[in-house]
Amino acid sequence: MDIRDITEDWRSPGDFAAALRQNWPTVALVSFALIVVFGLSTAFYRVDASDEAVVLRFGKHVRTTPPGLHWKAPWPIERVYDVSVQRIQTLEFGFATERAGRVTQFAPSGPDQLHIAEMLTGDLNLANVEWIVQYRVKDSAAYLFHMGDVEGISAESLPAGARDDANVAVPDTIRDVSESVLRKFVGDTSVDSVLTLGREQIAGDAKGEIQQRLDDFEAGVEIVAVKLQNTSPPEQVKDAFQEVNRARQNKERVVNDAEGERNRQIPAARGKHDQTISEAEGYEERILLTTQGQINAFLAQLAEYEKAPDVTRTRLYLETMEKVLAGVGQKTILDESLKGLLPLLNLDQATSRSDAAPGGVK
Amino acid sequence: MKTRIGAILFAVLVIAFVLLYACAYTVEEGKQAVITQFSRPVRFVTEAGLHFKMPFIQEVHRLEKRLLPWDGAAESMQTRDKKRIFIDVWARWQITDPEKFFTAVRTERKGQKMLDDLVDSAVRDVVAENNLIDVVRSTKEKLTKEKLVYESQEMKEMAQSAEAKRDVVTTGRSVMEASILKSVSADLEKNNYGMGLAVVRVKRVNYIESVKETVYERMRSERLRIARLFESEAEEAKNRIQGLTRKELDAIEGDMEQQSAETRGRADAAVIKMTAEAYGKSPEFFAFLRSLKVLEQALDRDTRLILTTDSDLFNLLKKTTQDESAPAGGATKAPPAKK
Repeated sequence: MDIRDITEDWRSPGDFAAALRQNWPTVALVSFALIVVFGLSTAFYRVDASDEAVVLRFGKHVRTTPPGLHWKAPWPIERVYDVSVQRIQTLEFGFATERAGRVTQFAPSGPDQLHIAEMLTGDLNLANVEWIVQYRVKDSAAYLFHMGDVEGISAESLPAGARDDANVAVPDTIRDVSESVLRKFVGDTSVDSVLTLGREQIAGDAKGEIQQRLDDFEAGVEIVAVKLQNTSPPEQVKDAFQEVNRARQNKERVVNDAEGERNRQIPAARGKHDQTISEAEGYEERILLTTQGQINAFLAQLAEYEKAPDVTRTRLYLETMEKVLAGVGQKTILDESLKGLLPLLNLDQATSRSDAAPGGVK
Repeated sequence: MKTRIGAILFAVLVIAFVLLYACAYTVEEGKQAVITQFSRPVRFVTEAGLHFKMPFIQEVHRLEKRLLPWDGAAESMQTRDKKRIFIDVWARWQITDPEKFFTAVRTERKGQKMLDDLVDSAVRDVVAENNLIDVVRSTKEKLTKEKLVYESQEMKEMAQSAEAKRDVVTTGRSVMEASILKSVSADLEKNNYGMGLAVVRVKRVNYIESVKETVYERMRSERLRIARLFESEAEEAKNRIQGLTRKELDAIEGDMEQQSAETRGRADAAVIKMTAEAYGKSPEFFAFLRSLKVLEQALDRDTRLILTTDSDLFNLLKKTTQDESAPAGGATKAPPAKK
């Protein structure tokens, strides 16, 4: 009797009970074999390189296994949850990446995003703050069994497969905690600080505080980073903030212009200063030398003069007169007895005869 | 006969399996179970693992042991200083007493409903007792996360005076959250819900739309004030730099005038000294030579010279034969009449 015979018999449904009665050892054997095959197929499991597996025996956590191929007691004795522990997950707040890539596209920020981003600052102003939180699972058992979700009440509803966010309650909790912490810190900061230098500080402190609060819940996650993305004033007052920027830049420009003018004038003045002093020094040197030369000439002349003063004197006088008179355009010689004529001389008329008898010596 | 025994064995096995299935149950990590007998809770299991019960007459109800979320809707309410705000609060809670919880509430979903009412009214009460600033700031401290480099003293003073004018923080958000938690916990305790609140936090606070407009207006005027401050600071800095430049230029030019005048004066003085010494040896000869030179340079082509025979030049002619006495003081007698 073999399996073919049984199937043959099943073709007549009315005879099913009779066939079963007749072939029950075979049926039992096949059933047993099926159970064994099923048991074997559920007795090993594979853990991905970035994952960790939490093994429950009758619902109780007995071990956590690293990546690789492992054996376990077959269903329904042991079951396995895969948890991704290496992969860093990112939560976005106040914005949503529609498609990441070379050119990342952001979804247009709707009212939902704005509700998250818009915050009251410590000086009761408003600012839009967008940020991301990156986390990874650091304790897979704690991650699975400490934060619950009301929507999926029983553990059976949790996906047993390699779904990354196997426990949706955890990211939900991180979202809630992050929003509270960020608002708390922004509430302790003025709007100017939030928009400028305070950003770094807020992000750094927020990371510690979010981690602390999640540890209080024993959520089993590690906050890898908190980064503030875009911090901006509300759309409605952006123009006023622009105006401040413009005024600030204008101030810098005015100061730069004044400094530039100063830098242009001072070196020029210094150059002029040095030039004038050099000229004065040149004058000094030159006049001293010239004078010395004149003195030397005089002394030499004097020495010779003293040897024959009278004749030299007369000679010099005559020579000079000769030269002088030769150069003079008009000469009028009056006898001393005619002195009275002088006033009568028509000087103007005489001038017109400019080239009258030069060098007339009696 | 042999087949009969086998069949019986098989039947027994199947029955045993069914019985086992009815008796045994598992409690997973993060869960707890209530065992009811004819709908009456008789036993509570909080330990995960394999457990047994009476078959068919006892039922297993599983409850969460984990922390459960609660997230309220954004509610509009009024602060003590009559500001209308939206406030959104979240909480985490837990089934602390499965027996009480199972009797009074039964399911997690219903537990959330209970919290909806309790937390909402507690938040309203607490917000009504606090000013807006208390909702926004976390503690009584000054702006603790403040990190700013004030661009000028005026800006710092502006910020400080604004801070001084603001309402004083009397409680702060941390205190508020604590008192909401306390109030809700007390209610839960009183009602024997078997639920415990782990934490209540303010998620979002914002002005209602109509108030936002006035806030924007205030922010705008504040910014414009800062912009004007920058403008006047620009003017101030410019004037200061220009003044400094003028001062420096004056110093440079003054020094230049001084040094140049001194150098030239020194040279001139030296000339005076040297010439006085040299020409002092024979002032008379010097005067004679200089006179000749003047004469030479003074008379040129355009000069009209009127001489009398009385002048030195002619005298010299007349006298040379008579005596040897030198003619007096050069040709100064000759009146050079410039055209």
